[in-house]
Amino acid sequence: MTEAMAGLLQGFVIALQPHNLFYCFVGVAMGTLVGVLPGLGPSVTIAMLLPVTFGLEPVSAIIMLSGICYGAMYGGSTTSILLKIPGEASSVLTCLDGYQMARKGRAGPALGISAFGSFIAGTFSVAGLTVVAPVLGDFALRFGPPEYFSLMIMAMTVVVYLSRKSMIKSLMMALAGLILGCVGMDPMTAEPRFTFGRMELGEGLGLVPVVVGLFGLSEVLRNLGSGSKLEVIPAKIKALFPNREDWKRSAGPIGRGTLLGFFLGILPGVGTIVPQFLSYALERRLSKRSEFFGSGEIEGVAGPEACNNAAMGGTFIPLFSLGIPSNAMTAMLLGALMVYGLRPGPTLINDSPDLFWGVIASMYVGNALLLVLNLPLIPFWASLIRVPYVYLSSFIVIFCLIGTYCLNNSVVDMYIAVLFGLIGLLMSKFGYEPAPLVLAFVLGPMIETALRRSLVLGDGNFTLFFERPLSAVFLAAAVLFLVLPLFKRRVSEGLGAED
Amino acid sequence: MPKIRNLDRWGALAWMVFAVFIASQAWALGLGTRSAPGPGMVFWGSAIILFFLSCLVLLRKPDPHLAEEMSSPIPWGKVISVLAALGLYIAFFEIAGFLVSTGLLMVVLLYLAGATSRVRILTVALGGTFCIYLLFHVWLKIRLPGGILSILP
Repeated sequence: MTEAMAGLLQGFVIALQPHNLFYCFVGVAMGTLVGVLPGLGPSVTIAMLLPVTFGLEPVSAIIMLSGICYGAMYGGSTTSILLKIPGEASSVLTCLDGYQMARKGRAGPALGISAFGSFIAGTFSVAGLTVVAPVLGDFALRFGPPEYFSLMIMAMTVVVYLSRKSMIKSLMMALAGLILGCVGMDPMTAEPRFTFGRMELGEGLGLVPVVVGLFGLSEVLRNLGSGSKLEVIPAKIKALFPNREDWKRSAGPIGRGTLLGFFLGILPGVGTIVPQFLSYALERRLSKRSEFFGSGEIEGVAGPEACNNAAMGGTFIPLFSLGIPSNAMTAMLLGALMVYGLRPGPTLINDSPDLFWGVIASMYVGNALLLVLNLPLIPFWASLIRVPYVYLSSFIVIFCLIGTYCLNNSVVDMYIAVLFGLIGLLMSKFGYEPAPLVLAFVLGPMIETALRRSLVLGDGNFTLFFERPLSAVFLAAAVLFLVLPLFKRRVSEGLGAED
Repeated sequence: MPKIRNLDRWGALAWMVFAVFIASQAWALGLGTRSAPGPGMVFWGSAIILFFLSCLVLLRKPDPHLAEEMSSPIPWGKVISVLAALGLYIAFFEIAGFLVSTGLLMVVLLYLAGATSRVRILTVALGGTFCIYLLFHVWLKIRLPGGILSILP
């Protein structure tokens, strides 16, 4: 504990240096911006800005990129409340009661409680990250290749299990991601695989062109010609500070949402979307006015908003201490760390303490900055939503392509981004989700290396994965997540027959 | 419903072809042995499972989630035009240079996205291109191709 406190103090010395403070500000402002603007997510923003950060020190770069992640959580609520369009997937439920509050002339308190709740939850989860990450990191030092392999498989199956669409299709996407992630030189024999004689593919497909294509370009292609006009809730937003009654009603939901989000966020693969749904369901169940949920109850805004911010902090724990991303956003951050030659995982805290503690301390600063930045600037963010998508989409395309080009000064990367833009469009048309693909794409090379090392270690014996207790637990959980939906279907079919 | 079924089947067939291709190439790379896995092992294993899952999608009931996708059709004409424009942009990006190629692409993209006012299209395209150039090239010192304009002093 004292070590953690000493590390954190050192982290504050780093995070409060003027240039790091500036990059933290840029990160959270960019995060809020992309959270506010529908159609431009934090994963694409990190991908686009990654080349821009090459001239920076790794600490400053990661401070800025993580600022984008948690800043987007704050920004996402603005569009949900004012437009009924979630700027971010993790703000979906804020639409229900937030928008209704805005229609009743209470946009201010909705935005205010969302910002305060996010601040409280965000700060709590960073405090949790400070305490839990080093402990988990120490524990993970005992992991060998079999444990890592099983843990990564479990993370992938959790993402597949939690997919919003067909589970089989999500599993297929995870396998496709695994295949695409392993393209390039063989990690053991350096033999080129699926490179088709192209030198550029020797290092594998780049994460940036793949993410930019799947999430950025495909979204623009999908919305071409939609030309929908957005109905923005009125011009003047008054009284951002919630009153005493609002606070009284919101305190419980914020507390429960924070705890729920944080602990679920820690679990590899859970991410930020599912906890928010659970928080909303919980608040509705606990409320004495549950029948009014969906018509402008402040609990329906406070709980989910606190929950998604706490979950975001929670997802940093498996990322930093195990090297396992929980969603596309943290997968992108993992990719960024690797670009800087850093290896996220149990050794990160010991190998790069300045980076680890600097980034954590910057999150405390960033959360405070977001509160200060968001409350007075809400009218400004709201005015940005009025920029017609016709103009916005063209800029998104150019930023996506230039960001991809800057990575290696290679037009091949731009072609790959466009190709994945088309693939992403077709995937959405055929009902396939991109998130499991991206996660497996990032984990692919690690899974392959862990699997092959394990097999060499066990002399080709697959029972090794079940003989080691932790590995067996992870694999059992993975099997459970795959089999559970079958039982659930049987049960619901049985109940249907009885009815 | 038949439309959804067809969509689902075509998707599954595409993945089956992909899986067969990967499995055959992985076989050629070499699967190795259990105690010394070869470079094709993970590809082969993943492709085999992908193939069986594609078969499942092909045989089972249509995916109900596709109904909502069907309700928002994609404007394929515009999509193909944008893709063609992007292909040309990338092909001429280093030859024509950032400013020229990006300015032209912005004009095409704005037009295809539905902007109608010519003056506004030109203003946004030229102004936007110049602002992006300032941001990346001048402020962030990122090298962008000069192309035909690089001969200018």
